[in-house]
Amino acid sequence: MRAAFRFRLRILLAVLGSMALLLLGRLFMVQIVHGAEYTRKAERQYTAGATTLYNRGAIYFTRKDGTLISAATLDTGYLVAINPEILTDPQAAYDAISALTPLDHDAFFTSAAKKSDPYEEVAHHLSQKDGEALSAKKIPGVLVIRERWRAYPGGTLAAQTIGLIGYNDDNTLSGRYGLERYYDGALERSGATYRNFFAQLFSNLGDVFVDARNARSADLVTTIEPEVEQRLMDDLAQVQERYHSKETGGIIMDPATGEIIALGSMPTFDPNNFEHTDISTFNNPLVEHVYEFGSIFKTLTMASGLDAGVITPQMTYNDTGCITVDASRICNWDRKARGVIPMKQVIMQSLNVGASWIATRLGHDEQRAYFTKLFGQPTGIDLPGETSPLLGNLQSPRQVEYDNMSFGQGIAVTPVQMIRALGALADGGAMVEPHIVRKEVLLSGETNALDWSEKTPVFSPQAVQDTVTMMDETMDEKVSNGAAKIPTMSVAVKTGTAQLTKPGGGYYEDRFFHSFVGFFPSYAPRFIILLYTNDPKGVQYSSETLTTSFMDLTHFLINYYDLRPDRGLTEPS
Amino acid sequence: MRVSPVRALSVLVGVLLVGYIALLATVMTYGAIQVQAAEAVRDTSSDVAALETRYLAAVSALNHADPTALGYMKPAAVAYITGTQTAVSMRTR
Repeated sequence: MRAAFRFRLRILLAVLGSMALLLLGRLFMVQIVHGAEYTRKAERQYTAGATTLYNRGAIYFTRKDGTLISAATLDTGYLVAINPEILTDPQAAYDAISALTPLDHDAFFTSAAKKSDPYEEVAHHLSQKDGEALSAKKIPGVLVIRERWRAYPGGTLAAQTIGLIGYNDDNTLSGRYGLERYYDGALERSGATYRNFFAQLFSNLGDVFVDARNARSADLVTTIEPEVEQRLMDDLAQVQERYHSKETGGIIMDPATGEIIALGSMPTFDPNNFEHTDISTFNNPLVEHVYEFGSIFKTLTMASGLDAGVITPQMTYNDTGCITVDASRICNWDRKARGVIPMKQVIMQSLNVGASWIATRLGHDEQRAYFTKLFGQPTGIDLPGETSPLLGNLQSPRQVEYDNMSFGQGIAVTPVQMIRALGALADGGAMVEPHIVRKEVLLSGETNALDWSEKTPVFSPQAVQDTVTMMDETMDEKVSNGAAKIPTMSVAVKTGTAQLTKPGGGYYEDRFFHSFVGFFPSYAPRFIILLYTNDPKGVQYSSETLTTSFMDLTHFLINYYDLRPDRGLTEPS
Repeated sequence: MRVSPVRALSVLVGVLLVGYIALLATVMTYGAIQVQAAEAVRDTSSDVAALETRYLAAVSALNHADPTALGYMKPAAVAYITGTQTAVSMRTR
């Protein structure tokens, strides 16, 4: 028995001895054979503060076929740092680094001179290829460290809406504008993309089971279609450049759901390279700036009058060209009288006197009620900084204020508020919730579809249909004198030209705000488009500045989405 | 056959020791694989981002392109007709 015990003991010793030899061999490989490499890696870990790579959720555009294209993502490369304590040849290091990336000479040598500092970053965002090439040179004192940063593949596309990230006071990055800011909580991630379950068992048991922050981390899927967005931005840029406007913007929305297909404004910026951009450009005027939109308001006045029953489409009124209300003059755009004309001419010829006539028949209380319903509450759009409209004149006792508001002066709203209200004409009388993000894709893979289904009824379907008929005839007969008519697609439109306000009160005679709204097909709209340009130079009417862009976008959308004709079909012979 | 407590304990300690070393080896191997996988994911994401940038730049270039210069012409006429009642099908059953 003792012999048997000794035998087993020898076997155990042999096993333990083999394992010890194995460990010694491994130690030799790590310490001696690969020692230098691990020393460099350890040094990087120490000098870079052992920080994990930057991590953040993605924001996606959605193509019409459902393909997701990144609007905001993460790019990987290298940063270059130097250790001045051991950097022996700063000139050689500078030559090697500057051959791969632009490098400020003075800043580099200032950093290299800080002999008591073990770590100075000198270059960022090197590509994989350049980083590996520099690392392969093994220059003493030059550290090539993996880096990850926020990238925006679309550049200027929907830049103010996507937003950007910036440093906080505590040196952490967070969303500062746009969706990056609005959904910052969902987009932020801990540095580690993956957790080692077994390692966590030994060191951090709590995080194995529950990490509240990662439970709500998500990628965002927006409703923005990148090709439509590109088209819109190109058209806006052309208007901005041609008329030297202060700003130009546009929104394209699905009026049935509130999904915003495209939106943007000029001037814009590139979030990949914004160091020299004026900070005011980062704000989103589509939700943060209010404007007096002018005559496109007449469509809402008309719908209000029809819905309240104070007018009918068959009614006529006597248009005298100019009227005096509360000692103020209100005139048509050309100051011409039309005599007795039907109601639809208020829209087709954009008559201020006609709109005032409707406002008078509506009365203060009714007009206040309709306009408050249309503009008196936030749209709830998922963008930060939504501004309240200026509706103070709705409390005025004077008729002239209500008359002015009937044709869109003396009332100022944001473009998003405007398209939401006009969208009621394109959705059977109900306002939708305009929104950008359709769903969140959580880290677990689950999808959280956001609920934007709430609608606010404002007008009756009949009132809307009668108004849309007038807008439809405007397109067919008035825009470009009928030349813009699309025989196979009904399009409902209204233009607006509003005088700009002077700082001290009153209006400029020669400076305007132009707007253009339209949706198609007229009676089952698939898209509504709102365009505007603020203070265009050398031109008076919005039909001159925005018609071309609107028609370009309309034809583009019809072709791109393969919209079926709703009229002008030929029967087969 | 009686097993002495000392022997049983020795065997248990031995098994636990081997098991502990095996677990450590598993953790370290798993960690290394995980880090490699994470790096691969990051590199691929970066490649995808580069492709997306190229795609969006191509869209922009197409928008600015002059169709006439590329050899395209506007159709002389466009007509739409309604569909016929009889459907043409190649299906045999």
